[in-house]
Amino acid sequence: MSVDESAMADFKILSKRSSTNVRVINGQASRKQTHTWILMPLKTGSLEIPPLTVSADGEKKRTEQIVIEVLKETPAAATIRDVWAEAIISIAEPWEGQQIRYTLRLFSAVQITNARIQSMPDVKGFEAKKIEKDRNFQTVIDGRTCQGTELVYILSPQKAGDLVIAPAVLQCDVVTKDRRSRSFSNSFFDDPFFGSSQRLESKILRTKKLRLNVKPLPPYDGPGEFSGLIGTFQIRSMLDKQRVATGESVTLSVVISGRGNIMDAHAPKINVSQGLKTYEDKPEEDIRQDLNGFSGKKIFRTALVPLKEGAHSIGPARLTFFDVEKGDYQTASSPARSLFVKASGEEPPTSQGSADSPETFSLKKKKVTFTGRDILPLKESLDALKTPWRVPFFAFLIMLATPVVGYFLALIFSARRKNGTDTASMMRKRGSDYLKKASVATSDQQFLDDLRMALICGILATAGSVGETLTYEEAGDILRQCGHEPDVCRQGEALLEKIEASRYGGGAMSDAERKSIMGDVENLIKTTLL
Amino acid sequence: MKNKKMRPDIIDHLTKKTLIAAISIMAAISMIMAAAPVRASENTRLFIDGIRHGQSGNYEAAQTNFLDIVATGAASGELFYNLGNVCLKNNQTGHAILWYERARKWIPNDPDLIFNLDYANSFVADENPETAPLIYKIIFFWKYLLGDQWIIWMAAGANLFLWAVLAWRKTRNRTILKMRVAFLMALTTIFVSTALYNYYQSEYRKEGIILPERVSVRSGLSEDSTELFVLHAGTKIKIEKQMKDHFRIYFSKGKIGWVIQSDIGVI
Repeated sequence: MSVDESAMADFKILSKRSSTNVRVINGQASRKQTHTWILMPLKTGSLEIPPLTVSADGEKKRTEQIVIEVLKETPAAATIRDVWAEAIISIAEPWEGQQIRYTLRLFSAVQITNARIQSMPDVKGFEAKKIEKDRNFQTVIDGRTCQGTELVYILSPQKAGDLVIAPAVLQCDVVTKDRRSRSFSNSFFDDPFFGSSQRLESKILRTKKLRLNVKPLPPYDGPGEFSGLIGTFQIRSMLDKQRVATGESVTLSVVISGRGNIMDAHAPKINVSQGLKTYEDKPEEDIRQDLNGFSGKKIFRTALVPLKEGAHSIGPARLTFFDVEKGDYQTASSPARSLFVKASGEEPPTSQGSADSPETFSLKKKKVTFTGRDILPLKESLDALKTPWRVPFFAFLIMLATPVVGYFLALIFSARRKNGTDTASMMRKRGSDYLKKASVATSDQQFLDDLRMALICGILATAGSVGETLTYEEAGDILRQCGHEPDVCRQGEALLEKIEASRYGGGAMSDAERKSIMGDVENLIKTTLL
Repeated sequence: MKNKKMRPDIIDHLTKKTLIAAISIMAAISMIMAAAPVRASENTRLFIDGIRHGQSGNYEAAQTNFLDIVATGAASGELFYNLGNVCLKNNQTGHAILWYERARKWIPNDPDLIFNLDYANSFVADENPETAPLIYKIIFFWKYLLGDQWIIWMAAGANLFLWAVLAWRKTRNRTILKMRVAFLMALTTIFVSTALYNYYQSEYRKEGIILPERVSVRSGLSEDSTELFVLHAGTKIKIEKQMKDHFRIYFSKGKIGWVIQSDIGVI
């Protein structure tokens, strides 16, 4: 489907979008396509959107005519507006080629979002360069605090006569609160956090058309050649050496500095003696851009090689430019220079100097002193109204004491933990000692007593408790409580029961029996319990 | 029956009381809620107007605006700096230096403040032979380089770190890092003692600025007392004692005397 938009001549189309909706009801499919345009009226009065031709599936249909009454903004409405844009120029009657500042500002007294430039101002007839950083600021207008954003362009008119800067069109969304009444039932979801109580209202903002009367440069009939520079400029020249031998190189530097179209500066012509051979170097430039346009310097270096000895003259460097402040052509010049050349091995003359004093050439560094005194300006940031929190003395003491308390708590906790561990290790050690004693015991009774104690100590060590005696049921319970495998528990019970039975049985034990029971206890204690 | 008849009256009475109480509470809450933003926006207006007055050369109005903000309890280095600026432009050297010195407590390293205070001090007529020697500022560089608040936070941080390391060593039976712990201990001691000294200084070793163009420092508390020496606007003095409506001040060795309190701005 296509729509012929060409009939909407009284409006400028800022944006358009379309959406399609397909519905199937009872097997019947229908399709709806919606086209939406954001229009900006180009004049006031009764404007009409004539019937538009819509072509779909080879069929043509026409929409209905819409008439819109476009009113001129009243001064009263202009003063109570919430969001607006303005464009201003720094000079209404500039000279041809003069740099002027075009400032585009967006003000909002309410919360806005998605601010963007729909169409840039048409700056036909100008050379335009945007200042890189946009500036955000806060100001009070008609008693209301407004947020502002500023974009600055440096324009340079390329021809004389009446020029027009077409309006810039900006678009933004104004965040407005929904006027729905709040109720207790849904008050939670009315919270702005959930976004339900705010809506966005799209706004189109248009700046005014700006007219400039660009004055032509007067005809130049002075001596020399006009450099094409428009602004305010200075020129100076210097030699890196004043006395050299033939064949040695000297650098002549010519510096053009000032404000204006400095980037267009060319090397000025300088007359030099015939005995000097010249080699031009690539110019070096340091150009900055600020709110007042371009400024900086351009350095032209020429290597001079004297071919014969004697005094050589280097003519003055002249620069003719159009001074926009004086409205006339001005010629700046640097003084002539002299270069003394000696034959190789000869001392150069000392009494003669160049046209300037030696200070001009040597670039002697001087101590910088104040030429005027004043204070630095007021601080305008509203942060000045925020009182930072200062740590009161008692809070500082708490901050100091807290880690100390923490330290002692850590010690107490550690000591308690260590205490429990020590009991187990003590019992483990005792068990190990009894095992050793049992291995060297001579009598059966002694052997069985030591072995019993070794087993009891081992079982108690696993529980982290102290004791001297256990029944085999108690031993089994302890092992089970400590989470040992049922086999281990049963083995512990059985071993203790066996030892007790042998102790009280009174029968003599053979070496094989002693080794067997000893091995079982050792195995249980060393590999399983400990 | 009697009780039943009375019940609607009781309910009515209770409802009225509840309603009045609810309205009163809501009104009180609204007043509390509204007070802060109103003050904030009022201060914003005063501040913006003050800046505007200051930029247009109406320094007296700017000073009034900034002082009104200070009267609400607002305090910041930038606000005091602005007050110093407008006082200086109003040819009130004493007040200007007083506000700059107050600002220095909040923003000690602000280059604009240092520049302007230095400039304002060039108008002070009295030379103090006992200005702190440079070596003192070099040795205790952290005290001058960092503000009071930074030193406090550094002290708290170093202290926390030190005790955490000690606890770790103790619980793990570690004896390593001896040198580092010693260094940390020294660092903590330095910052904690500096912070404590700063608290002591701000509480017990107050300093002040002479406000009028010329002040007679006398031997006693009355106007008949002998004039010992004269100080001029902007001169910094130490306040040793307060008695009735006088301060006993110390200017330099041997230069001690009594001055009326209103002639001195306490920093």
